[in-house]
Amino acid sequence: MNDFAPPPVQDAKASFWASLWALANPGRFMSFSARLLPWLWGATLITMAYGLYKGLFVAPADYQQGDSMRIMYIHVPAAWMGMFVYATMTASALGTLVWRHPLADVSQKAAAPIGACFTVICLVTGSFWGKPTWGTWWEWDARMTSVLVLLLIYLGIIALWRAIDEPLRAARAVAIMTLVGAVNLPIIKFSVDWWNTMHQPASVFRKGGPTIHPAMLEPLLVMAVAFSLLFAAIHMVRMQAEIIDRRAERLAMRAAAGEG
Amino acid sequence: MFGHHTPYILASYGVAATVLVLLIVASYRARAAARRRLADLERMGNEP
Repeated sequence: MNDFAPPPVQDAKASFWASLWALANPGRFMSFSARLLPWLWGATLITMAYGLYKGLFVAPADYQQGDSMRIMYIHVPAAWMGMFVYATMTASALGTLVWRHPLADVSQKAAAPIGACFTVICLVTGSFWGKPTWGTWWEWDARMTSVLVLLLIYLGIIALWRAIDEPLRAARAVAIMTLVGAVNLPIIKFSVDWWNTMHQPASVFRKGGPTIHPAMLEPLLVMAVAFSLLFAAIHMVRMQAEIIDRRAERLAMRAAAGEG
Repeated sequence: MFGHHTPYILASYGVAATVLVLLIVASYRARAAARRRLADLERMGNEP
């Protein structure tokens, strides 16, 4: 064995970081994403169609909630995605501030409206579920209020991107705001344990495993995969738009400087 | 279809579909607008 060769685990780690940095080149990202996008959309459509079919027509109705629990097949994945997208943005914020990754702020800017949309879907579908189940559209409950705060943070981040013209300054300000807002994620997750709320406690990601019957768990997980693929596809399109827009902006500034 | 829960279920899925379709359309429109802008600037840059 060659004494100078690094251990295999380090090799794998190094190649992972090397491939991540290779994609940091916007040109390389554009060609990579152009090849990946049709496959992503195809996989999204197939999993979404399968999940909807299973959730709406195959899964049994709940013995207490009846058919209204079918709303869970979009409400729960949307809630997970609202939090997952914010976690992705937090990682991107670190990428902007710590590693100065060239695509980190592009990723963050592209993700914010998608996360906001998933959070809106979560809140609205939760309301449609709450009326027949709890007898109310809205309650200032810890879980619902913390998710509403998440939506407000998303809107604040989108507003901040628009308020600052210079991209580098905007990216740093948004990254700091995103990191501060990340404190809301554990509050959302554990709100049902820390406070006495109307919202049911965790029934999938919990110690001791899921408490949901497999016939209901399967469509829920398939829809979660479909929403994740959908996020990946829309995120890529928005990142492409942002990269092209920045290229155009640089060209316009160069043209203006040349005229001056 | 789902008894007295039908309006709530249809409204939920309808709102989710509308929000997601609008988001997808807006994203593709933004990319198309950026491409047009870049093409215009490149054409202007190539003009003598």
